[in-house]
Amino acid sequence: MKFLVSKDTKPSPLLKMLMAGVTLAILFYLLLDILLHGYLLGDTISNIQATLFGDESQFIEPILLETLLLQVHIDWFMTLFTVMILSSIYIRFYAMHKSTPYFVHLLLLTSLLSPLLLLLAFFTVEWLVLLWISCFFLWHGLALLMAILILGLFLR
Amino acid sequence: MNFLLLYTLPIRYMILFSLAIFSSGVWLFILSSDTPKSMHNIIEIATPHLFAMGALLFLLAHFLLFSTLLSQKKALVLVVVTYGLLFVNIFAYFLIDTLGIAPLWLKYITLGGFGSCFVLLLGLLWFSV
Repeated sequence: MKFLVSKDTKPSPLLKMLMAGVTLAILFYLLLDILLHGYLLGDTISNIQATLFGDESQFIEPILLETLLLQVHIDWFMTLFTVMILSSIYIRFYAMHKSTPYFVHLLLLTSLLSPLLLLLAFFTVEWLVLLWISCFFLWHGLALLMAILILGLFLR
Repeated sequence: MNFLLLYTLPIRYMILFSLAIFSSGVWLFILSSDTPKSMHNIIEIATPHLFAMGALLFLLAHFLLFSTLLSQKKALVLVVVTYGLLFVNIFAYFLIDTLGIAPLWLKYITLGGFGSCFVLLLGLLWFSV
């Protein structure tokens, strides 16, 4: 058994393909995750607010706490694996860049806070939905950028 | 920043994520604890949890291999106890609802035990990184 201590992937085409494969899968997952949340919670701000808080004029009941909590619980789990894999590969290639710690910090922090903000919005005030949307798109955008930067290295 | 030091970032965040997942899971359990469960419900809950909790526990606990804070022997005991409580907790509903051979408090006791071991493991990991 030999363990990897080098960042150089040239001697191992298998490792290179594995990392490219998982990054590509995560890239597609991130895009579909945005669509999935659009279907589950709504694709506009007013639709999301109607899903969370209900809308008497359209006879829409607010989402059940159990349903929302289950979604948040699943989101945290899926996000954990996504950002861990992505940030680990990113650190492997971009450790020498000065921006890397900030970049990784921001991704991990926003991805952790995003489901929490959705839950907080449900319990407190409607404008927190806007904060959740910003946080959600920020971490998805950062993760997509990271995935593209990693894949860019493989295409060189 | 040092290449290896950078890896402490995802590990620390993984601990925070795990706490968030555990807290929301306990909250969900409390919300649904007074509703009767059918065999379908029990399997629906047990199946993803067997994979998810097993994998997450492995992912977290394997970092204890590199810990200088805890001896390998103590880490082994902690991991065996945590996995044991995890399995009893997940299968408790089968024993309670389906077979009727275990009391309801088994679920609460194992959940409390698993939670304590899990939080202890996360704490040890936090200070080991």
